Parts: sequence; structure tokens; C-alpha cells
Amino acid sequence: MNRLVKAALPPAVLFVLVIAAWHYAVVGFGIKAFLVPKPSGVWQAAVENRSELLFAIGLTAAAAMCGFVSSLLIGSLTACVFSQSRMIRSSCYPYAIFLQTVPIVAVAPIIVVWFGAGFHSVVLVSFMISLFPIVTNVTSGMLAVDPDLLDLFRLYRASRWQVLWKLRLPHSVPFLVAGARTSSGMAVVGAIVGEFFAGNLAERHGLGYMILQGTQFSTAKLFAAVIASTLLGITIFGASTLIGSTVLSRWSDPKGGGHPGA
Amino acid sequence: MSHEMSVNATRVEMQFPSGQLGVRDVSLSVRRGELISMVGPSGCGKSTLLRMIAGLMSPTSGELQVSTASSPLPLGEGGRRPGEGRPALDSQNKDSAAREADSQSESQTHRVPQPSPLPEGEGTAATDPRIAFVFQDSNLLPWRSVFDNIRLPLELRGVPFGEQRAAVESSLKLIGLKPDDSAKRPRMLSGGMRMRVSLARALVTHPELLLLDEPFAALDDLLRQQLNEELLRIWTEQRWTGLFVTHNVAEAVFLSQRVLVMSKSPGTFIADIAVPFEHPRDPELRSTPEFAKLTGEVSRSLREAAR
Ligand SMILES: Nc1ncnc2c1ncn2[C@@H]1O[C@H](COP(=O)(O)OP(=O)(O)OP(=O)(O)O)[C@@H](O)[C@H]1O
Ligand SMILES: [Mg+2]
Repeated sequence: MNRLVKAALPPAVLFVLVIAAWHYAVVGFGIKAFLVPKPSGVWQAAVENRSELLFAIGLTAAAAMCGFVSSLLIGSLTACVFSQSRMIRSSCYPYAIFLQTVPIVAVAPIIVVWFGAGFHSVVLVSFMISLFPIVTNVTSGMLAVDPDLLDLFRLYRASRWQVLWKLRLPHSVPFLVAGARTSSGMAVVGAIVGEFFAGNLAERHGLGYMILQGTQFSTAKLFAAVIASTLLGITIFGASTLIGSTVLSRWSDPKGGGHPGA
Repeated sequence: MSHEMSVNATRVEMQFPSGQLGVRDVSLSVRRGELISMVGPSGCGKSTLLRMIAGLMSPTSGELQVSTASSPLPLGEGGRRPGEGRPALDSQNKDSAAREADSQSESQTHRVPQPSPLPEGEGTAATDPRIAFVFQDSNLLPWRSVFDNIRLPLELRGVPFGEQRAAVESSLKLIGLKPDDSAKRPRMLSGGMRMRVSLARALVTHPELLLLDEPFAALDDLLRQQLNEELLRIWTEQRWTGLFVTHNVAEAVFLSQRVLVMSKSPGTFIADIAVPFEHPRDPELRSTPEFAKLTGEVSRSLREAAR
């Protein structure tokens, strides 16, 4: 608990300072509210639109989580396939890199053309952007297995399947955790970008669509949505980091984190 | 046990795809139940030779034969034959039919002309289940407990869990590990303990040929001596055939019945020094003049080898 307070205090102080600076800058320089609203104005807009905002947060979070979880599964599965053959790797890797480097903003409209607007397309955009870190990390984890360990498995005549399941996959867990941390943040970005293009059909919409609307109607609401998106990103990133470190400590230490002699 | 394996190598040569020679013109004859040490300058090919004997790679020329007196052989607790309980193997193994037939009969032979060295892929090793290998670093799986590490070879062979547990427990006891240790992860163990676990894992299958590649190189001298004594005690009890690679002359002499000295790279054997002390050996043996005389002889031969 004490540690938590220590960790949370500095960012909290900084937060208060930034809010104060923001407020006095707006007031002091007389900036127009449609350019930069005051913090209190943003808060007011958030409260006024709270049901819309909360629903949008929930919807975007759901899309991001669906995208993230499917990228975890499909990404690990792809890495398993990649680990099995150099030929598969060398023929597929260029496309995996293509997936990473092609601007997601450019792909999103294509996805809408192909699959129509709606939640599923938002998930798809989120999935596509968060897939790559998982594939590369887990693949390199699977390939980085100590050659002596591979020899050990060969010595005991392990089948290909046993090598994958009992050696490569567990060996790549720390790599998966590292990839998941990057990927979780990107899944949120992907969901919001996806909603720019594919989120406009639903009666009730996510943060991305709210941001788009905000540019036309109310800067304060726009700010509220942007801040909510940021908080959502931080929350998902934090949660995946926390889960990741729990998994890691389980991975390398006995259950319950016992100590020598325990 | 009366089924220990013997090893016969005739003019074995290993040339890597890079053109580098691993060993050249190696001839070696290890009798059943013999414990032999191999010393030689770094890079002379000791590991290469052990890996060939283990079946992890094939010689590019010469003949290497690993054979037993009687067959089929009991393996582990269940008296299972090599090949049983591993259904996934056959489909993977190109020459598995031939190999399987081999291990049923008297011997397993690598002859010239050789197929190209074993591919680096999985599930393709033409290894003999009666051989165990102890690597230089303990080579344990960090995500597995001591117990789960030791049972790995049995698990890979599809031995039922109950049998695995019994075998692991007796192996733990044999190697001087407490039952409490079995839940720990490798990273919580000292270097000496890790090496014990590694030994226990190698012994859990009741191998008939144990190949040890500088297993104690990373340990301090006292620990090394302790483990030497334990290894020797276990060998005296079980009498498997053993090939022990080391850089430590005292260790080589203390453990084995013969010390083979290899020349510098590409290595070949240049000396075969008999160690006449009988087993069981007393730790005090190390302070006798006869012991000093022999280590002196081996050291001299090693100096020649390095020239
Ligand atoms: N996969 C490989 N490809 C090419 N050359 C290799 C390979 N493995 C080993 N060698 C070379 O073969 C020679 C013998 O290597 P090896 O590892 O068997 O020596 P060693 O006697 O075990 O040395 P050390 O005492 O340092 O462990 C060395 O010159 C090494 O560089
Ligand atoms: Mg070596």
C-alpha cells in the first residue's frame, strides 16, 4: 500500500500542476473557449454528457479488448507456425512487416468497404494494429531457445509437438508479456481510429466517433473525449503490465512466490 | 546392471559444413561399465565427440558404434523398450524404421557414407534412449520446478505420472537433494544444487551410457570435489559406462579408470593413461604421492597436446 502511494504521488502532483497551469494559461492569455476550454469547462462537458461518455468509454474499451485478446491468440498461434519452418517464416515475414508499416489510418477505410461499418470492423482495426508486436515478440522468443535445451529435447527424442509445447512456448512467455504490453496500448489507438471510420453507424457510439463529432460541435466535449481516451489507454496498459508481471513471477518462481527454505 | 553400453570409434572425423574440422582421426574403445575421462585443449573437439556419440550429430567419415551386450533393454522403472510410448516419433523420423530395428538388435552403427549431419529441426534425432547427457551449464528449464525438470525425460517418453514420481524421488535421493527442494525453481538454487538436479535428470532414465561435458566446470573446488565423490559413489553402485570431459586434471584422475588426452584442434587422441586406483576410492586418495605422480603425467601430456 505504502509503495502504491509512493508510486502514485508524483504523477498526481504533476497532474494538479498541469491542470492549474492550463487553467491560468487559458484565463491569463484570454484564449477563446472554442480553441482551448478551461479545465472546469471540460469537466462540465463531461458531466453533462456523462451517460454518452461512459457508454463510449465502455464501447471503445470492449472493442480494444476484443482486438487485443484476439491479437494475443492469433499472434501466438502465428508465431507457433513461424517457429516451425524457416520457409514459412521467410515467405510470411514480409507481409507481417507490411501489416505493421502500412498506416492503419489508410487501411481502416478499406476495412469499412469490405466489412461494413460497425463494432466488428472497429475490432478488426484494433486487432490489426496490435497483432504485430505479439507475432514478432513471440516468434523471437520461440527462436531464442538455448541450443543446448534443443539438444536435450532431441536427445530424449521429443516430437516436434513436444518441443513446441514443452520448450518453445513456455520459453516465449516473457517475450509474449513484453509484446502484450506494447500491443495493449496500440489496441486502444486502433479502436479509436477504427471508430473514426467504422463507428458512425451505431446509435450509440464509442470515443472515436465522439471525438469526430466534438470537432464540429463542442471543443469542451472533444477535450473530454480525448482525455477519456487517454485514461482508457493508460488503464488498459497498466492492467496488462500488472497481469504481465504477475504471469512472469509465476513463470520463474514457484506458486505463491515462496522463498528458499519455505 | 549388466547391460551397459560400449563405444567403438574408428578413425572418426567430423567436418562442419563451414569446412572446420571438429575432430580428426579419432579412434576410441570404451568397454562396458568403464568410466573414462577426456582432457584436451579448449576447442579440440571434446564436445563434438560426445555429441556424435550421443547421436546429436553424425561423423562425416569413419565408423562410430554404440552397442550393448543384450537387447532389448529395460529402460527406466517400467522396463520399457526403446521406442515404446512415443507414437509421435516414427512419423517424424526418416530412418526411424531402420533405427528402431537397430536398437532392437545388437548395435547401432553410424557408417560411411553418412547421411548429412542431422538437421537442426525438431524430432529428428537418431538418439538412443539409453544414453544420457549432462551439459556444461545445468541446462534446466527455468519455468519448471526441480521435480518437473527431473521428470522431463520420462514425461517426453510418455511414462505414466506415478512411475515418474517414484523415479524422480529415488533420483533425488541418489543425488543428495532433499524432498523439500523438489518444488523450487532452478533460479532459487545454488550452482552446485543446479548441477545436482541436472545429474538427477540424467540419471532418472537409468542410462547405460552417461556422457558428461564439463559438468562441474563452473563450480568452486570444494564443491567440485564433493560432487566428484558423489558421482563416483553412484557409478560404483550402478556401473553405467561413463565418458567424462573436463579441463581439471585432478578431477579426471580421481574419477576415472583411464584418462584420454586429446591434441589441440582438430583433436585426436594422443595419450591413454591408465589410472590403476581401485574403486571405491577414498577422498584422501587425492593427497597421496601416487595420485600426484599421475596428475603430473596427465598435465605433462596436456602441455604436449597444446603445443
Ligand atoms: N556447429 C559448428 N560449426 C562449425 N564449427 C564448429 C561447430 N561446433 C564446434 N565447432 C568447432 O569445432 C571445434 C571443436 O569444438 P568443440 O566444442 O567440440 O571443442 P571442445 O573441445 O569441446 O572445446 P571446449 O573445451 O572449449 O569446450 C572448435 O574449433 C569449434 O570452433
Ligand atoms: Mg566443449
